Amino acid sequence: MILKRQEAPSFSPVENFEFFKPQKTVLANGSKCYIFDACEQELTQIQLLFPVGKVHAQNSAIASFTISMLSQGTATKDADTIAQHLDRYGAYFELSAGNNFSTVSLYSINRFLPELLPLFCELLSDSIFPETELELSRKRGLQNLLINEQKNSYKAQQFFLETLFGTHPYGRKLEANDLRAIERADLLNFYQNNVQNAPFDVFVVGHVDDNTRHLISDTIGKMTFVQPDAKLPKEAILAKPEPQPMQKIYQEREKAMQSSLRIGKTIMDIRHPDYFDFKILNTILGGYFGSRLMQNLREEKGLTYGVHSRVATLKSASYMQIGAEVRKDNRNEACDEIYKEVQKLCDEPVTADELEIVKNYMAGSFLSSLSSIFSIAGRYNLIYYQALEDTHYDNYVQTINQITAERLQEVANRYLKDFTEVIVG
Amino acid sequence: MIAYSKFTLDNGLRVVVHEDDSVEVVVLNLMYDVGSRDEQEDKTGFAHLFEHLMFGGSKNIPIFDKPLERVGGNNNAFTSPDVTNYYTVVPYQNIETAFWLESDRMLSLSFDPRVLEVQRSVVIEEFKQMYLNQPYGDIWLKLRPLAYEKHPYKWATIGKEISHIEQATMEDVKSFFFKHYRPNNAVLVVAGKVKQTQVRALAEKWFGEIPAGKPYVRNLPKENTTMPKPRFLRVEADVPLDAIYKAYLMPSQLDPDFTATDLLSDVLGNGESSRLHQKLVKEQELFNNISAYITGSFDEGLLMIAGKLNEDVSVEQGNKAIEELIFELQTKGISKEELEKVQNQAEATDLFSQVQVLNRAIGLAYATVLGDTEIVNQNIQRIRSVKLSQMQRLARQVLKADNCATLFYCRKTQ
Repeated sequence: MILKRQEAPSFSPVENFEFFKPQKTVLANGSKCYIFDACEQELTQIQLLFPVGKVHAQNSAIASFTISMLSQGTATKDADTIAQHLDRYGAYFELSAGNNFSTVSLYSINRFLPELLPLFCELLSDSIFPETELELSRKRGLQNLLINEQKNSYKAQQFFLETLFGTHPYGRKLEANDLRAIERADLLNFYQNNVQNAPFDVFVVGHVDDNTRHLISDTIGKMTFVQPDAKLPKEAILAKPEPQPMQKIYQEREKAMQSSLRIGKTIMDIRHPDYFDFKILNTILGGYFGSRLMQNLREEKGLTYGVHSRVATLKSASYMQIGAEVRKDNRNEACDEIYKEVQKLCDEPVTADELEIVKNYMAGSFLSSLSSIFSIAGRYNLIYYQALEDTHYDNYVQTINQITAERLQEVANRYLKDFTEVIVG
Repeated sequence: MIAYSKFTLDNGLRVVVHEDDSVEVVVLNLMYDVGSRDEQEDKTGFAHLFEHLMFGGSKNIPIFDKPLERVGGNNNAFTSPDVTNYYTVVPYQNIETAFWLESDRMLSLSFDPRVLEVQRSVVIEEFKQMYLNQPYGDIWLKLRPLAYEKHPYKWATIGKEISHIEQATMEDVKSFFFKHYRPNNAVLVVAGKVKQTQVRALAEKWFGEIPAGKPYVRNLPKENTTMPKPRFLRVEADVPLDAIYKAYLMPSQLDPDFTATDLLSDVLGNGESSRLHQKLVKEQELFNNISAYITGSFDEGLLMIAGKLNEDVSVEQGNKAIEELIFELQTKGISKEELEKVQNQAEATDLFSQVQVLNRAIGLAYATVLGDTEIVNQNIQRIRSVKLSQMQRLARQVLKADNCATLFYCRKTQ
């Protein structure tokens, strides 16, 4: 048989499917517990979610320092003892403060959980933020900031968010003075008000056997919460950012070989009827390898190693951003081409062929992004943070397939304009 | 345990199948047994440039990505000093599209001169973005030629210099392709929601007719097992903190001492409880951060110690502290608890790395290229069988002062 290599084999599109539903229980202390149990390897991530983050403190470094220093000393154990205990069992913590939420996670092989859970709980009840550890973290933080500030991409990102969000905490940048100003009392205060004995929810992800469930109930489930009302974040700080004027900023760096570009704007909320269609439009523009920007700037002109457009969804704002690193003397050409591609989406309907590709690509990449229980739980984060329905993703593929070229053009004309542009380098 | 079966086609293509019906996708992972170590010294960066060209169209298919995206697939690739790896993930029902695309570019590339021109400039921008326009971005460009004298590991995968990429010709491209990108020089792993019988039929159909190439016999200049005397290089650059990089030559991947050396690097510098962090960051407050790791190369690799110094500490002072710490390790040895700790850490890392089906596929491909697929399942056993006495011997052998290339990467003096 002679193979017809010029002809693509037949294929079938991804069909609509229901998204994984975590099992939900309530622990003795009232914490909602979401169980994501589907992993052959006998390991587990236990993640506690606190509805508090960087926007809830006056200084951008306070939340990050408080959360990341939870493991730097408790009433009975110093930082080194804690590190040794964790490493001894090959386990690790992931301590991360986001804008509106913070997470405190333990990753471990199941058989070592009994040795680790009591310590994990201790971080939440008895952390003391020793002065010496604060000094070390401060020093490290200042030095890392120095390194980051040398990177065009870091500076460009910072300017871009500042320009989009103005004085709202989403636009606040981390400055050396923030780090210098932190005192132990600030951390203790943030801890006592928002973490210690404060309510949290729990994600348990991995190979969640009966034994693990019992252990969690007996430890985390028995932690008591006090005055939950007093500890809720202040609504005032959660106000939506005020719209900011569009701007074009160029900060030259003489020695730079490349310039870092950011072009974008704030967009509609995740619950807005245009949101999902805008995401499809964004994918066509710069959300995958076959996108207009990637094909034009990289594959046709070789102007960049990569150009991407993405949609970021925060708790009380969303924005789109196009980003690329390009040769310094090509920066204007690159911007012109980006605007040309944007205009084309407004002026001409997407062809049936391109639409078929992007629909199938999005459905397929959604499907393949769900190929481990950890990535499924990661996707579920959006449902949790935005308080969406559990069925949010159930019609994902179907919704993609309903989009039309006319609708995309309409959305393009409504939103693809008035961009803020930041270039560093 | 990763379950698998395997077979070899008549043209020499080795195929490994890993069935996992808990996912809705199939991974096609094609690993070519060629990396930057197989390049000529005056034509470096070629294996990586080639990785880019592989997406620029093949004999019967003008463009790689589009037909793949049309069926819901995605793909990527990476190049290392040892191998070049391509992977494609598709919804399971569209597995044949992946076979069609991947086999056509093994059959032959399109060798379109325009593709070469564009990818040449993309790679040059990549070179700048990742290596030149980043603080500390060029350390491997400096360190490799310092640590290696003969072995091709002495140049970085991106290339020794941009000019090699600028000068690559279509003739170079063709000869590299027909020398290295042949079925008998590759391993195909198919993993996910798929059956072995289906893979066999598809592999025969799409890859079976591709002719084998002339066997490539790798005959690389061999590095001495250890360096005869210590090497130093001091460079200045526009960076905010001074940094120290120390590279020790270590055993190759299949050497019985490989895992023990890996664990030795963990004792030194994996995590906050490690010796380097405890002594030099916490106790003596000399370093902002410091860690140790291995490059994991197929041939003689490097055990690395890398750290950034606190502002008021000189590189000489930092270096001396590292050497004292190593001396203490060599003379006082390692405790049983310390060994157990790094064994547990290594086991957890191994287990976590197997969660994703793509990682399992890549692991199977590596093991097969190294010569034995079963290696992938022997990791835990190898970790557990490391002896204290073995680590102590290696601490003296590998961490010997003579066997070290040290790079001082300093702030520019005003």
